[in-house]
Amino acid sequence: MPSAFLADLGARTPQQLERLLTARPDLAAATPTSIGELAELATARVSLQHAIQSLNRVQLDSLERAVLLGPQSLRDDDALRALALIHPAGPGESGAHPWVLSPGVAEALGRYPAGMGRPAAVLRALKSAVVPADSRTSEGSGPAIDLDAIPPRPAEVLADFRRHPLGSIRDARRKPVPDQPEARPIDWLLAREVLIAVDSRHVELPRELGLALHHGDPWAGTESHPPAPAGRPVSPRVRDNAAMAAVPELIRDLSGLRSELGQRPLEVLRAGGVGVRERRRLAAALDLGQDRADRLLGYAQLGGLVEQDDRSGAWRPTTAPWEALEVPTAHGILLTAWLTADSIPASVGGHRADGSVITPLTDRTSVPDAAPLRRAVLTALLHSGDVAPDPAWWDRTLAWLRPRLAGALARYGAALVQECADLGLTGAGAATDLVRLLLDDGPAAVTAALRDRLPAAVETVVVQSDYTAVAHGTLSPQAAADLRLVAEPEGRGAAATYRFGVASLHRALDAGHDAASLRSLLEARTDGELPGALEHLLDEALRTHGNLRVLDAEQVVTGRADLVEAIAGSAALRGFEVLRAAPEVLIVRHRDAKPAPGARKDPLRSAVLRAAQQTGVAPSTDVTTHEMHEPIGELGGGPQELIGLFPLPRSSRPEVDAEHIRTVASRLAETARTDLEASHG
Amino acid sequence: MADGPIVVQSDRTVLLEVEHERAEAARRELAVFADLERAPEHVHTYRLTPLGLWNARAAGVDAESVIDTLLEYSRYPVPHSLLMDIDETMARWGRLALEKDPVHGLVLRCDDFPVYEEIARAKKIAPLLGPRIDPRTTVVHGSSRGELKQNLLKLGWPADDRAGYVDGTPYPIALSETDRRTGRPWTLRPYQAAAAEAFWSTGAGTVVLPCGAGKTVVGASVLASSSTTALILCTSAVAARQWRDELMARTSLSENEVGEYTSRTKEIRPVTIATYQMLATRRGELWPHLELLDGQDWGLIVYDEVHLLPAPVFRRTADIQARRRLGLTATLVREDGKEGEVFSLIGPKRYEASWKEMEGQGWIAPAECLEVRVDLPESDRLAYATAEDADRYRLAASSPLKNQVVRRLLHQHPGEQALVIGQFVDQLEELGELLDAPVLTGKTPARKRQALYDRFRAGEIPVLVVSKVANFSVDLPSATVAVQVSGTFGSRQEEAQRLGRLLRPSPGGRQATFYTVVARDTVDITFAAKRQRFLAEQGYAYRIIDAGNVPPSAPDRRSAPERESGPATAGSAENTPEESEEN
Repeated sequence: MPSAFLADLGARTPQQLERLLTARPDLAAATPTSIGELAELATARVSLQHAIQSLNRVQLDSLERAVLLGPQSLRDDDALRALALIHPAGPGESGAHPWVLSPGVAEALGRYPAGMGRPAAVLRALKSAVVPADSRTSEGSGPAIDLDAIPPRPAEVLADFRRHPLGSIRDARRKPVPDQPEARPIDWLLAREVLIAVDSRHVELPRELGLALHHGDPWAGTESHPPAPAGRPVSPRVRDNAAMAAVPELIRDLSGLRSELGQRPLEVLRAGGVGVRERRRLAAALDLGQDRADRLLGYAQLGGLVEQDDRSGAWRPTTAPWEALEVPTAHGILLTAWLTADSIPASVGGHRADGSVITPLTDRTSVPDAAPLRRAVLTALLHSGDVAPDPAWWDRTLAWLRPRLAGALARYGAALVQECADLGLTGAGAATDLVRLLLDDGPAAVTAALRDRLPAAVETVVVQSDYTAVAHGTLSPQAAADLRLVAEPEGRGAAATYRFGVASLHRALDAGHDAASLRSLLEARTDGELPGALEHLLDEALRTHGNLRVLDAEQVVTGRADLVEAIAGSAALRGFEVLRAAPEVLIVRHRDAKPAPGARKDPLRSAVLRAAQQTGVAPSTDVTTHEMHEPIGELGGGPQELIGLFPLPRSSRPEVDAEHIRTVASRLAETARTDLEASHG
Repeated sequence: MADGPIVVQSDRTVLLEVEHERAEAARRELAVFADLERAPEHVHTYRLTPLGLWNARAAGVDAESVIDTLLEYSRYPVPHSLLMDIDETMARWGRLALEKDPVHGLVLRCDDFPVYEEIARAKKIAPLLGPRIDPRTTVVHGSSRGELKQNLLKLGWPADDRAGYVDGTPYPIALSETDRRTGRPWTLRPYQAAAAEAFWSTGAGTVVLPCGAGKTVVGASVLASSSTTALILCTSAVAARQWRDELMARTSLSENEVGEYTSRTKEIRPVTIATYQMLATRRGELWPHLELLDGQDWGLIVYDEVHLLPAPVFRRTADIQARRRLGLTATLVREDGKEGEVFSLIGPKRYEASWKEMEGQGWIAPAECLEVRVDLPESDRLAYATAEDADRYRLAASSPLKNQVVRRLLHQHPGEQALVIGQFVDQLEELGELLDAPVLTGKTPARKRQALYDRFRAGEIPVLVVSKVANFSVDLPSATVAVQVSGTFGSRQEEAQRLGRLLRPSPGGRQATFYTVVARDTVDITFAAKRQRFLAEQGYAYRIIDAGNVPPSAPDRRSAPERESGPATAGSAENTPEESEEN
């Protein structure tokens, strides 16, 4: 390890170290205890590659220039230095250049920095190993070739090597025909070592010639700043409206998803993954488009809101207290999980690099670099101005901001932009100020901002004579739970709407309410007086509750004798064994084989329910669902405190706690200081 | 934002808080492009539909102003996808246009080539298109105009119909200044004038007004604006007679200018009134009377109670798109879900007023709706329980126990004229006997029906027991109480129409009372709940009472009070002010 590098790290203040560890969190995650350890970690290839991925075009060019042209081209660059990719040259090194690349950086940049091949000397050595002696036409370093004097056909071939130095040909080891430039242009180039065989099938353009092709400056065409914003202008009113509508809508839709999966878990295919039919069913049940429903599954998975059943593998809601959260907190949990998650929910429907179609709730949505890709998109949004950028701008900007991730960004960029819209970070395609808050201060700052901007949750509803109840806004978690129990949710949108019915009131009675508690619950949740119509409905529900009960297992029907009689004689039960145990009890059995346990639909039960409905009376049934009937306790605290309750999937780039970074940084600075004192003392 | 009166939901509904100070302004703007779906007391629900948005576009409203209205009045942020959807939907309007070409007659023009290719390949549209005269113009046969428009609408590419209407044979008609029956001056109510105006500005459309709000007067006003020969289609011979009386009283038309085309008389006069039943009469493969629709050069066709339009008339209406058409209804709900077809064939909704609003302004009588629940005795319950499915409703709905309840209920309203309405003739006859009241059913000859109605209006009969023949278009302004004992299963519009019989404001401003008697724990309850939905959505609250809580009536005083009060009621009916008179 060069002492100058160690000295540079050792001389950093706690704040500078903190900045390094924040920018390269993998270093902090390993918790180095000495500068030496830190230097080892910081020069590891994977860590360096992650650091280089975060560089923009100008920063990357600067490093590549140093590799190709030598360290004298390096200038002091605050960002590169903070990342410990460059450091001041030590006294032993040539004093002509003040800055040098940190150890391992040149290797980490790859074999072909700036698309230039290896030096001719290296290639010639390779060539001598692969090409048989009798095929060689020239030995040693031939005369420097005049690029302007190359005949037209070989010049055309050479032009293809401007972007990348490697080319593949049928037989690189052949003996080239040296003097038929028009008929055999490649041979012409091989014979003059303009292209050099590196193995049996590949040839490479030497670095010197590559640079010469670019007149010594392959970076001439690159911009020093990201592209200027280009796209459709969006007014702040439209932008903020769209963003602030997206946040509660996402939370609502995810709650709807959990409720639906609670009642009907999502079955998986034998081959793994969720089938198209199940996905369509879900989208229809949620009254959403297929793509939105698919994305919701992805968000639910990365947020720890759904999990697979151990036995059946079906997807169902986790026990995480999602429904107990206010909108900003719930959004905070999701945003925090999203930032570091490996999966890209919006990539569903697209193709992976290997051509496979991406399906939801499979590891095909996982991308190892998802977290840096996401940050790249967020960073690009900072440069997008007041417009909804067009796709060409996105391509150019992302390629400029993160040249090393350009390939993955071209594939996943659009999906990530969609996710920013879903999360309310953009509105109508234009970036909101939440993007800067998120990048500068983290998800907690976004949550705080949303708490100020989103309308406060309401506790009561307006009940009307047609038995509908409308909340003027988003209901508080407790109020929503109360109303879910006593009424059926209706519609979808910012204002929660419900419809009361005898069946829904019966459900509340089944859940343990009595007349008094139900009435007081309704009174507490009603804005103003309980309308007469609802009073009558409640009376009717109380009067008829328990008139008829259908219990599970071997189907047992109990109730008023006449009703039981009606069911006993029902055509719906033809084909089943019907026993009249008492005037008020009926037992219904399968005549022969029972359906396999766990079958999705028991025909016997359906028949009994059908027969019961034909009597005109809605029966009480002991349906068990995952629906939460217990009152929800209020959950205090922000997303950062509560996120532990959500079983998030593991991330390959976990967020490292800022507190941890601070501790590691100060400890490192402390050790460095003591070491220094020891060496001086 | 922040405190606006509306909430725009993701499911394309718009909730309007009616007590909000800006509610009225928001309502006016919303009515242009959204359909009122429910109007209960606190929060009204509007729905954004492609049809509504296209109608707004046709009326010259662009997507930008719709979006602006939503953002302006919305309390919360509006889902952006919805705004984009509105923009895209409205942009589809007008890419296709039906125009009149001086050489080729009716043509379909389309500047958007891909759209043309899409529609020209659609299975139902291709046969309606004639030869293509240039890349953007295709000839369309005049008789395909309606069908083409309807199919284009289903495909999502509504055509802008700029081909106009035929003028019809001119015939001068004017509104009279005085009601000729009473000799008193009268004028259009403001909403009637607005409805007629809204219709006339476009030439085809539907006007939705509550029962008793004077739809016939709107028809008369449109007739006068048109001043051409006209055909009026209505539901029954009784309704036809009422139209005739009304037109003769309120317009310059005289007896021999108004013809009735019914099973009894087949007069074709400058203004001809026919029944749907007549037009839909079929002989083998032929509908001999359908020719009436386009056999004459009518300048206007009025469809009364347009929600009842029978299928053959529907189909033929598609062929006469060049004639001005006015649809009138109180309850545009069809159990067959064909409301959309009414709009596309007769014309979009041009005017609608909510029932409760009309009640608030005093144009229709305030009404109280009560659902009286009867417990069937054990024996009846067992009979019900063991009955075949098909007979269950009949058994439950026509339980004899209901009869006593009806008598007790009527006893609560001494001095008021009452209608007892039911579905089953046997039940009605029993009731007639018990209440000592005449029974009017489909079997009653038309002449006798008319006589019974006349006597009831005159106050000579306190209680009239009627079947569904009295559901529509029968004006019995003196009735203030109705008791419904059974109905056509879950028909929402029947329930509303029956209540409608009571809504013509009575002279003393007396409240109307509408009872519906249902048998508990039977399908009767289920159907009753479904029937009530339309009225509940209009803001009528049903109060549920137990039959046991209705005070018993003394058998000896059974019908005496009603009889005594009969003439008094009749007297006040004669003094009805012009405005609120039957129309």
